[in-house]
Amino acid sequence: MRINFTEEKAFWLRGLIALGIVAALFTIGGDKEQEGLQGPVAGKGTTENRETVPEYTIPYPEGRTEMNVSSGEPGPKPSKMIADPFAPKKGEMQTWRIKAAYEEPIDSIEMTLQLDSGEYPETLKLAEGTATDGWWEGTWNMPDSTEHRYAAVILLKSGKATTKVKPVFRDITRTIF
Amino acid sequence: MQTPSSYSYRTQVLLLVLGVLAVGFFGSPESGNATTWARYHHAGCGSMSLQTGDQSSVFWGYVDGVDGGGIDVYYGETLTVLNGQTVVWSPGYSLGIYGTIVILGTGQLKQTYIWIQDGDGDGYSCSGCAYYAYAGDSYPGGSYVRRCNLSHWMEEDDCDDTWYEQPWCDPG
Repeated sequence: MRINFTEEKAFWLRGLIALGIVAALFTIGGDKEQEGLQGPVAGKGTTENRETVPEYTIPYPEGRTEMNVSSGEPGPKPSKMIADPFAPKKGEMQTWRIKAAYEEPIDSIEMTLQLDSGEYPETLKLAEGTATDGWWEGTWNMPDSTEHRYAAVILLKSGKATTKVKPVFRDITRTIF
Repeated sequence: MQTPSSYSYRTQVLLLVLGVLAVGFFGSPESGNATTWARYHHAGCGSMSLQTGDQSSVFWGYVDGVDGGGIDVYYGETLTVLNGQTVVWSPGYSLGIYGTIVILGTGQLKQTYIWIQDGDGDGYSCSGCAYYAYAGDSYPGGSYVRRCNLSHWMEEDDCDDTWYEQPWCDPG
């Protein structure tokens, strides 16, 4: 009986340790799936202390830049995006316009900029046309630099339908040259 | 009363289940992260699928993409074509867009082949050549070879493209 008691205690102790490890893993991993829209996350995916931009890096376009979008997803359909200017310096003003259409009214277009030192949620407002076919626009002061990382997660929502667009313009944070 | 051996068995099962959960979690897609700068195909031919869990949605060079295969962009994923960039998929293969493609400015998608210079024919592209590859339906001449016929095309530049098989550059 004494041996069994010891084994029982050992069993529960091991179980608790394993649960603790798993809980810790989930806590750490939870950050990985965060998609923004929760305020700037300074330091998340930060490029501090990274190497300089590699020689072979396609430069950003200058000024106003149009993007054609083709989506095979079942939700709201973005067809064109305009960034003006495309890659302003930190603190400079930038405007994004997105043309989107859908059979049902589009409720919102949310955009999270993923930049050098963090992620920054922005909301676009309907500026022209209708919620079923119109241009959505947002203007902000560029909250961060784009030297190492410049990407976005754009969510177009209509009822339960959501289209996710994730353009990546540069991300050398995990480049292997 | 359970025996010591049964406790051991239960422990092992518990740890196995938790381990599988942990591995599954860490192997799960980073769906929110507009991840990485692409380096999908090192050499050889083959198609590419951008799907949940992939870590890349933009290519690296001015002429890039897939040589000897097609591209599928699956639901929830985005392929970005940069300004001035040509993203290639090969004749005889398909470009499937079930997710989204974003094309900046003068970027383009083209169904053709990718050619890279390899002056000494050792299977290593000359330094920086992968960045300035050529997109075309036919052999452009000179030392160009199909990218999928190279042994290595990006991760190892040829530091001396006149000397067969001297792929490693000596910084000293």
